[in-house]
Amino acid sequence: MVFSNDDIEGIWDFSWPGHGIGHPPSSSVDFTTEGKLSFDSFLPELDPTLKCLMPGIPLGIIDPYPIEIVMQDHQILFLYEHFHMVRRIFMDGRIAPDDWPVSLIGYSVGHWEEKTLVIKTTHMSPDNYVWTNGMPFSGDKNSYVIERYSREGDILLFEAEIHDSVNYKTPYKVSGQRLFSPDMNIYEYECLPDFAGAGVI
Amino acid sequence: MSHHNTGTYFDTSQTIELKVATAISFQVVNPHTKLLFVLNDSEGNEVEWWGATASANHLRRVGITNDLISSGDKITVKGYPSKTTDNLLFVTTVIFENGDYADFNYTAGGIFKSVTY
Repeated sequence: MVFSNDDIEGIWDFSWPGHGIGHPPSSSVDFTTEGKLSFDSFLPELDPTLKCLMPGIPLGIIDPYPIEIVMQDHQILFLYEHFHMVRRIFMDGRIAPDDWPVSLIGYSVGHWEEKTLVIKTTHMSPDNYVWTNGMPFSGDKNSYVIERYSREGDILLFEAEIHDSVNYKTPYKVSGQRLFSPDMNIYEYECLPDFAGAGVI
Repeated sequence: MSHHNTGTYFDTSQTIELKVATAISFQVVNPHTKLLFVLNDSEGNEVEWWGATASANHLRRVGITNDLISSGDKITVKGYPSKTTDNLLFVTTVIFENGDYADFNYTAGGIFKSVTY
């Protein structure tokens, strides 16, 4: 079957590119003073996923589990196997209501730039993280995340910029790819709190 | 951890090998699978250890389920020691008495015959 490059509907497995999971080494991250202090004082119990909470955004952008993308006229759904996370990417031009509550998942709007899906996410929680090694995320009202997804055959390339001037002098960037896997199953992901800390908290 | 940054919590620069242990329980669950076992220390006392490893969803995809290890099984356990907690490791491999082994790497792991180990 031949797919259009702007047809990204279907199941996509996580794919491990040669460069690893797609986060920069912490030594190359352009921290602010506050960001470096936060990173150095990270405690595992602050990681939401160690409390059976969904990773949210930006932490969940690089998530080594399959996702299913459903394209509708007014929105694109990202359905993550991991923690049953659901994202609604509004494509109809709406903007976030002023009173939209901050959350792990935030509020996402998207548009197409030729064959690339561009998503902007705001309203994320200060409880979130950029990466589980303690890479911080402030949840400051001016913070936002830009994701770009583009299809090349059976590969979905993605990259993201985390704009969080409280913690990073320049945007923190991640990248990766997923493999089109139409025959893959999306499993239930029940998280048992008694096993979440796993001895680290 | 499967999703979590293993190197944050475990010393991935070294692999320890614990033999011969006796399995107490093996629970393939999310977010982390748990292996409880006992090991005799140098004075012959039984010491309880436990191991964390990949999630149930990841292990299911490489054919590892609760049936892999039963209470009482004699096993050798390999993995990365915890940076903070005594008698805890991140399990990478379990070797059985017949030499067969389970590799818990969730992208290339599975259950293998001893001839390939």
